[in-house]
Amino acid sequence: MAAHNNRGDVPSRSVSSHALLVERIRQGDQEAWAQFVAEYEGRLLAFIEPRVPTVQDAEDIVQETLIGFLRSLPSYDPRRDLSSYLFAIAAHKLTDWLRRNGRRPWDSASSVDDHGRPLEEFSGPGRTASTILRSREGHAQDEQRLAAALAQLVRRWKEQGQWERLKCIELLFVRGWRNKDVAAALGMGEQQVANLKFQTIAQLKQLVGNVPAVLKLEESS
Amino acid sequence: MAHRPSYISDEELLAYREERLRVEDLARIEQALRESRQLRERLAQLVEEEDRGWYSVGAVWRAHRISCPDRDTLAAYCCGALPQNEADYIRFHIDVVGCRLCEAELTDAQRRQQAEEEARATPRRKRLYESSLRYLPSDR
Ligand SMILES: [Zn+2]
Repeated sequence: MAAHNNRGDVPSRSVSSHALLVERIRQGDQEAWAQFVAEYEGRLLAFIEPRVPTVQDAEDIVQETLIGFLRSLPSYDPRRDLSSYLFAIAAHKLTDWLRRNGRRPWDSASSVDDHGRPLEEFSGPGRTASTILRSREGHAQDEQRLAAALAQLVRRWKEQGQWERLKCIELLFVRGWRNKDVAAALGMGEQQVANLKFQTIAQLKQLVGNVPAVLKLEESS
Repeated sequence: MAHRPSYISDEELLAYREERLRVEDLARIEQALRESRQLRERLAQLVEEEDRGWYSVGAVWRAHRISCPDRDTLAAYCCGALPQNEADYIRFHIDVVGCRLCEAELTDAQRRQQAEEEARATPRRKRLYESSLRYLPSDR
């Protein structure tokens, strides 16, 4: 087992090798689990550490995350990116911790119980298909298509070295900044930002049709 | 990258809830939420919409890690082997967009690299120390 060899064995976002590893874990393979822990504990710890006062707190939350992952295995869809999934569990456990420790007093106990409810608890996109609200097939399919379309555009921009375009769209879509702030941050003209946004929305509509999320972006232009 | 908007966008509120912003931004939003009932109500409304099945393009982008570099690229970035433009982009993705997942993966990669270097250096230091020891001036 290669605890310190972070290369080659399980390529990131390679679905098939991850699926294989998860399948072995599902069958109770201890070596596979050890490999999984060695692969992921470091990045989980690095994700959590800056948000809690002590290393011990961070380690506790990593532990809860790993246990949460094992408990959620029956509903895990192996086509889903493993690292995203694991980070989503970690974010959830971290949020729970912050709430319990009074860091989010306004955040009602809405989606939380402290009894280790497994992953149906997620809100936001990309959760397990078993989510009650999201089990409406149409939604999940739209979301998958939208994700695939976005990935296709971003892959193309990266291949073509269109880094400024990618930066611009990322600030617009992911941070939700207004055109003039994106322009100021990137040293671009406002009109140029508006054009890139317009083009990208048109490309998305071509790829996925009139998905509500895309229409909302168009509205905000 | 000096410019930052003065407002907090809906996407930032959602990203805050997902723990998907830089720690400084999370703290800033946390503070703003403490102080502003209006902001808390906006967040509550966004959460409610999400619970009803709504999702934004930004939320899908974050959840599926649409623009996150894969691990080989991040490793290449880590040892300075990427072309300048691409390296710039990754810095931007982490520092400005605030991808905390990539930041965590980068920290992890750097720590592992350090551990490897440390593991290689220890026997080397011992060997160099021992092989040179007899040339050390004798004590008084
Ligand atoms: Zn990222």
